[in-house]
Amino acid sequence: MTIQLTPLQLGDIFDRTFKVVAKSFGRNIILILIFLGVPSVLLVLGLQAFYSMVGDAMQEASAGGGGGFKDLSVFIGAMLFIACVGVIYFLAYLASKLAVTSIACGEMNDQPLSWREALQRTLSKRFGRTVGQALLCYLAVAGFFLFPFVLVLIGASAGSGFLGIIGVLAFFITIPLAVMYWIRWTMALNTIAWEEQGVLGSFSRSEFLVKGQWWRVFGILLLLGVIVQFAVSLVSAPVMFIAMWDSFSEYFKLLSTTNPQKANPEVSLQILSSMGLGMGLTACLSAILTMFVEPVYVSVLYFDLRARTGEFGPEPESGTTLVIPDEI
Amino acid sequence: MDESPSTGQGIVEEPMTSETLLDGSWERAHRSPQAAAILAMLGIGALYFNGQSILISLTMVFSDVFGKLTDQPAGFFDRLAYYAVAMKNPLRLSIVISQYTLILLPVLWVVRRWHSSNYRQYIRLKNSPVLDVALAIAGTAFFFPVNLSVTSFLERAIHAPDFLIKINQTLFTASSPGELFWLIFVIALTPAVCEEVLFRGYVQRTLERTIGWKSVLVTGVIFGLFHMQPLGLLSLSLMGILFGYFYYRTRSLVPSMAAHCTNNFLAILILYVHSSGGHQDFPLFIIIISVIVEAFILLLFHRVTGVPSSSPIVSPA
Repeated sequence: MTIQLTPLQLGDIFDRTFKVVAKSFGRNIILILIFLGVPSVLLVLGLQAFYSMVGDAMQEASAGGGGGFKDLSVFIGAMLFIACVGVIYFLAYLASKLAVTSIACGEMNDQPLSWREALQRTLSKRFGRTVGQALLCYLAVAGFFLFPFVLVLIGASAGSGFLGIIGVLAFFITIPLAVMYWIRWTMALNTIAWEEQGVLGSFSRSEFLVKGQWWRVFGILLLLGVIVQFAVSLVSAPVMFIAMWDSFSEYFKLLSTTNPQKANPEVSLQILSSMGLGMGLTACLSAILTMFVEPVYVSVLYFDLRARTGEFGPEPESGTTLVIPDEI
Repeated sequence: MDESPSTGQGIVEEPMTSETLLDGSWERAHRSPQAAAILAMLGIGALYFNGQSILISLTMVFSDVFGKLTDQPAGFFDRLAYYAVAMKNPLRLSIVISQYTLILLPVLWVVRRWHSSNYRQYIRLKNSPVLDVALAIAGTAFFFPVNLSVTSFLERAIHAPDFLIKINQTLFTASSPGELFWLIFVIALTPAVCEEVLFRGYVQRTLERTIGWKSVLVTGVIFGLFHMQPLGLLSLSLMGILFGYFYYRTRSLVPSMAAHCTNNFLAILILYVHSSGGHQDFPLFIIIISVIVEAFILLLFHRVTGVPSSSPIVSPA
């Protein structure tokens, strides 16, 4: 099938996003559970164990029981475990994003994919490309900040205030540069998921699509990002509060029984020991909730940009999809 | 879009007397009303919370720099209490300004621009029978002890320290009859108008067009979440459902506004009378009696509002 789509207005983008999210909700839940279910549990448990261990060790140290971590290997082991869980979570996050993007692109292209088809598409060479694209993208953006960072380091070590100031200024100048490229490469994942682009091809294809529409893409992504994050915070705030109920309870108990004007290290250690669960749950829940929406609106925007480059041909009414069977 | 809001929801409609013309840009493009409701609600929510934070921060900085905040205490919590007292009026003013400019005006703009030029009719800002309003007020008043007790129970369960509760209450406690009137305007009237126009008049009304009575539950829970008070989530959601129910049955914004105003007014009054602060409680027998009377009032309200007046929605030609 070939679709015809005219450039979408802002309202059409919101409307399409809502409709695609609603239509693909069930399939996305399955895919997100498949990819992010176990890594999320691992991350929550890992963070809880890590914070608990650090809190216990510090409590022991503050009680005069020695130098905190009696066995350094335990600490290193915990750090390695967290690092491994982090890498697994990152890969699962990318896979989940790729799968949801495939579903959203299918909906936009009037070729709905089942969750099994999306899973198959994800567990293919596309996944390797997605990982490569994400790593390159993050490294490039981080690389922008390398120069100012080095300047500040040199300034600090040489005691040169001038170099330090230049470094800080360069840092602030780098922010818009990083944002500029980040937006240019926003569509890279979609081009991998739907057009089977390679790693480097996805960057150039994304730049081509965004060219001339940078401010529009930036504005829409910013607006939708703020709205989605606000929605996520509405849901995750009470969840975090319930997950950290014991921490808050202990904290308030200590505040009620001790003089609030005096700093009490026990309070912060108590909080530290039990904050892993709350932090982990909040982070995972936020990532999962965002996963339902973010790849969808980026996909809608991707099709809009393709329509703006004239890839779908002329269309009589804005925001309407016409399906032309192949045989015609 | 020509569905009538209560069709198929178990409510018999009165003969149609007027029409709500859906001539806004969103309606003309035949976009999803649910998408509009969710988008506008989240957009206005983000605008309100961020805008209010900026406004309050500016107010505090302005007061700190140009005000008479001298001899500030050293301790963190003492300083917090000092700030709460010293800045209560600028903070209250910030609440009023942000409610009207960041909630009410954007909602009305969205309704006029996206949905209908007759925005008053769309949000159902119309007169309601006195009995409906009186029952809504009574229903809220008898729900108040339950509401307060639930929050108080949770505050005790989490061991919320009295001094923190008192700091929070400082903002909402009047020390004189004059201040009480000002607080009634800030805390009771203003949210009753602005929040009801957003949640019931716009969000519930728009969702009602596609999901019918379920919009009462959905909007109620959203109302609870929007207040960002984890301890009050349950009671605020129940209250939101109650206000939504009044709106749904009467097809008028006035009863839910009156109910919202009553609830907030009672909260201020309790603090004014019970000026020592701390946990607010009612004896168990009062709560039990309240629940029984509440059930009776809701039953009566349901019977009285059995045949809600409604207006059909028509698409532009």
